[in-house]
Amino acid sequence: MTRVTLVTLATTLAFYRQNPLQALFVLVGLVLGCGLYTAVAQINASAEASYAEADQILGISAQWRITDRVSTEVAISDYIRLRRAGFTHFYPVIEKRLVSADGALISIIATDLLALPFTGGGVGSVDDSALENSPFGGDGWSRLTQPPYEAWVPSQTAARLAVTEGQQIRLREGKRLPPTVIRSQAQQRDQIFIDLGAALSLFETERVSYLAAPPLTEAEQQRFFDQFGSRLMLSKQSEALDLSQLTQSLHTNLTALGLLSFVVGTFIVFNAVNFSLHARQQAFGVLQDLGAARRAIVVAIATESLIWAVTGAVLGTLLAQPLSAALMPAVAATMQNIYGASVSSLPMFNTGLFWEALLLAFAGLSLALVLPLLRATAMSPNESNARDETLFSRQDAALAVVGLALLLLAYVCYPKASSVLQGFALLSLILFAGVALLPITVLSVSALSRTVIRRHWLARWALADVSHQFPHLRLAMMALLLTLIANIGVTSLVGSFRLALTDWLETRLSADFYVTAGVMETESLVGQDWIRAAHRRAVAERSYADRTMTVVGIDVDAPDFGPDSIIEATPAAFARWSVGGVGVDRVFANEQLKYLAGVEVGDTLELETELGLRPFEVLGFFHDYGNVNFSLYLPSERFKQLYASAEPQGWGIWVQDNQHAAAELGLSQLGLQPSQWVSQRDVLALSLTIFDRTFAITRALNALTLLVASVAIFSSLLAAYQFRRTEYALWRSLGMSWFGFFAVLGFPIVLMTAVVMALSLPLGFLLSWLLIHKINVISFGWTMPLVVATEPIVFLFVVVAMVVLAAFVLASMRQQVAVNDALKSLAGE
Amino acid sequence: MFKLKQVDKSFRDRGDVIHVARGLSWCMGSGESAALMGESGAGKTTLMNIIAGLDTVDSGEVLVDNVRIDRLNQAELTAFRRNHIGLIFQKFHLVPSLSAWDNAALQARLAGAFDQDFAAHLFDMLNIDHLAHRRPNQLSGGQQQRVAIARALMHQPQLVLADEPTGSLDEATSNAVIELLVSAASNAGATLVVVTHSASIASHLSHSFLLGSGSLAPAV
Repeated sequence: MTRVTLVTLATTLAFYRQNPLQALFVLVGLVLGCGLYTAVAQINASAEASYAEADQILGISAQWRITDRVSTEVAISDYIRLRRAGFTHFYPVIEKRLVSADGALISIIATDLLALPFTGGGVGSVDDSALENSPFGGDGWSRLTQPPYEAWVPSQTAARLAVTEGQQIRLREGKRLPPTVIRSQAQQRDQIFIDLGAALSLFETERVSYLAAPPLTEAEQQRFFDQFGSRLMLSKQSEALDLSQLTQSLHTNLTALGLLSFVVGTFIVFNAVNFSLHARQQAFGVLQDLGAARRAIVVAIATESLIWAVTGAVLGTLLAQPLSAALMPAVAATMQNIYGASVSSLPMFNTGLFWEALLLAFAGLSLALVLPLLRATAMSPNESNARDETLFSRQDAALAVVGLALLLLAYVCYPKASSVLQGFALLSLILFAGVALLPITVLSVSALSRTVIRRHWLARWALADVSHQFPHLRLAMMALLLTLIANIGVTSLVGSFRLALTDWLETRLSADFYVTAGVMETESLVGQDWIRAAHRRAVAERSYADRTMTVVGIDVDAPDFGPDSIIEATPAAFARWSVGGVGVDRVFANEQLKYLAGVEVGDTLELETELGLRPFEVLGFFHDYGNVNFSLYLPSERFKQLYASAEPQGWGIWVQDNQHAAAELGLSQLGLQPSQWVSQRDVLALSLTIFDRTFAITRALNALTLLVASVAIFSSLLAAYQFRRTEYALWRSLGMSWFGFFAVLGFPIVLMTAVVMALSLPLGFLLSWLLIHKINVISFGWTMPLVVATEPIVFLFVVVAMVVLAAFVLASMRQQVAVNDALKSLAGE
Repeated sequence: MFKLKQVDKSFRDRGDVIHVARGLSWCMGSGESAALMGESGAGKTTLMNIIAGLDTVDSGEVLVDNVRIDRLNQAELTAFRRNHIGLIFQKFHLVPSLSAWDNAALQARLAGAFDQDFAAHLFDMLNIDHLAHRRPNQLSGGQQQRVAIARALMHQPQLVLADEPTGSLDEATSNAVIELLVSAASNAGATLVVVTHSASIASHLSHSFLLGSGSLAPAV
């Protein structure tokens, strides 16, 4: 670097020695933006690393999955038959999600350690060195596999459940897991690992969730189909649960929120950099007059940017560690609750993320610098000051045109968007259209208000000051608008979802009790006067359009499914469904079939039954939230004819009014253990708790983005005060009281914030509409009505008003002293 | 109109102590006009700030219209300045978002002393009535300074202080502006003090004083 450039760099950097606050804001913007983005990227990377290991269980290959065609769970007797038939590398797995006595969700995985195929000399072979090097090397495994057994609990799970070594975790039904050992293996993530024998005893079952198998040759696959294909189903682990595909919408959502945080952080940087360049304009002029070429100034500024970018990326990456550690448990809970995916709640760091943050920081700074730098070095101070007024108007008019163009583009692209990424691209068009339209909206409202308020000169002055404050606050207000649109959009989405889910669950879980399958016969229920109704469903699984199709047999008079459950249907559909059809069976389909497979009302599907291939006429659709598969509902009488070997599920029991206690007594008297029935009221409450936890990560990120936007407003106000200090000193020199002073300063901020809030409402609703009717449909194949609740939005606006007020008060606190000091140098400037 | 009694004022500049006033006494009566002259750095602006209540003294008394302004707190000073003093700056310091009319009316409105007829008369006298609706960036330097003069006089203060009011103007405009200022102040019965380097400007005023080494003496 030449001497000229070095001297130029030292001169330009000297600005920050005199204005440490500006340096702080550049850093804060970069650190917050990089930190939030990196935290989200780290969370996504950690989750995706877990998905990549989805075809492994505890370090062992699980490329294939074997389930029972009828009941899904595999009987131990079938497992034994498989081993005797030579399939010795199949191993049993029990996976369960339970609730502890304290109400915490726990995830359990159990397998037969001695059946695990450690690979070393080929598939299924046992290699001593592999065993020694495996997590199960040593003698600890013997205590795991023999009574009283052990429960291996990962440290993060132990911390969450507040359990220590030797303690037994108590389940809600009263049972206890084996004594805790704080230890974890590869791919165990947050799951508690116990021996299969312990699990079978604990859950009092003779069935396992599934059998897993390492890679199978074609000959082995064929032999399996020949010998066991009629009872058991062999599927690739990736077919059973394609986690990357399923979770794409959530990770894209998180990435979008992370990027939004980065953009908002960049706005802070924009502002600070803009101010610093403007304040150094005279210095640039002097440097050029003294012989520093424009190129040297540009290189100096670029070097300064690099220094900021590296510092921001380093500190941002450091900030991301505790941030992602705090947010990861919520993401892990979301993965578990929505997708059944097991993800560790400990985020993984990788250096690639640091370089990504550095690149983003440098790109953001470059964007922030390019235009102002070109202006600052190309024009004289007087010229640029004089042109600022004109440029402001032309620039904002151009932005308005861009905003309208973005909206038009979104309208044109809407029907064509067919992937999650395209859906989020639509969302970003809406967000940036709003941002582009903000300046012209603020100025128009201000101009309109001035025509209405002509008489009061102080009000006219305050309104006129909008056009002088807005250039300083423009970026901060844009950041606030982005944040509000995202907040309103997501709040409305979550609110609509909660309402729809509550309605749906209240119908679906309308039975007072659910009794586990196989523990109670129909005859037991006869004559029980506390029973109002008792129904059970039966399920058969088939395949349709490369996805699992669940055919469910339902009693036509079951209270948990009726005409109100149908969302789109032919006339008198429920009545027609109840009586059945001639030659073609009538079904209701879940809406996933409509959105993901293009099935419409009146269409006919062909499915395998035990009586051969049969046609099914779709009479209508029903909501089936959270189901990743297709589903058809068939009247139970007809279901029994078509799928005779399907085992019925458990009983849903509706109890007479005020007979809840009698019902519990009655169930006990029927010989049922407490673990064999569950109160559905508790399940409903738990489901809603899970729902709220599921969206905790989104709420957290929204709150953090609002915090970043408030920092942007605060820094902009400080910059504006500094920039206009001479003008403010003039006001005071003319005898303006502090009340009048802050009234003229404060009113434009009130107006700008009000315009931001007003603009965020329609755009926020548009965003939630897109989330519900486009992205949700693309991702999950179901939708729900958009219901706007006013309370959360009013609360959000109150929070924003308080945040803006706090920023204004904080920024104004030192102004009295600063302006009074400026009074002394007002004359003689 | 104002009286300075045994005023001391100094400040530090990188270790050096600069005495603006050492036992300085000065008084001027109502309706009088004076030029305050001296070398650069003598403290002319500081002295003017002291009289305007924009700066404080180390010791001594400062009376304006018989009020000890050196004993007033910030709020009282602001109110006093609002009602009794008009200020004119070298760089005009008009509010960019207000029209010429609103700029000129600003202090009078703050003081609750705005008189529409007097304002129109002042604009006519200063020959800026056709510029009333223009904004500062649409006015020349001379026009802006005339608006600033109107602002300083519109609330009919007892004292007008002008710091290098023609410093940013060319010679012809300077002469026109100073003539208007002296005439308008005289018509309003205000005491006028003008800080200036220029003997030509000083010649328009009834008295001239030279500030140097902390003391004030009549200029020859």
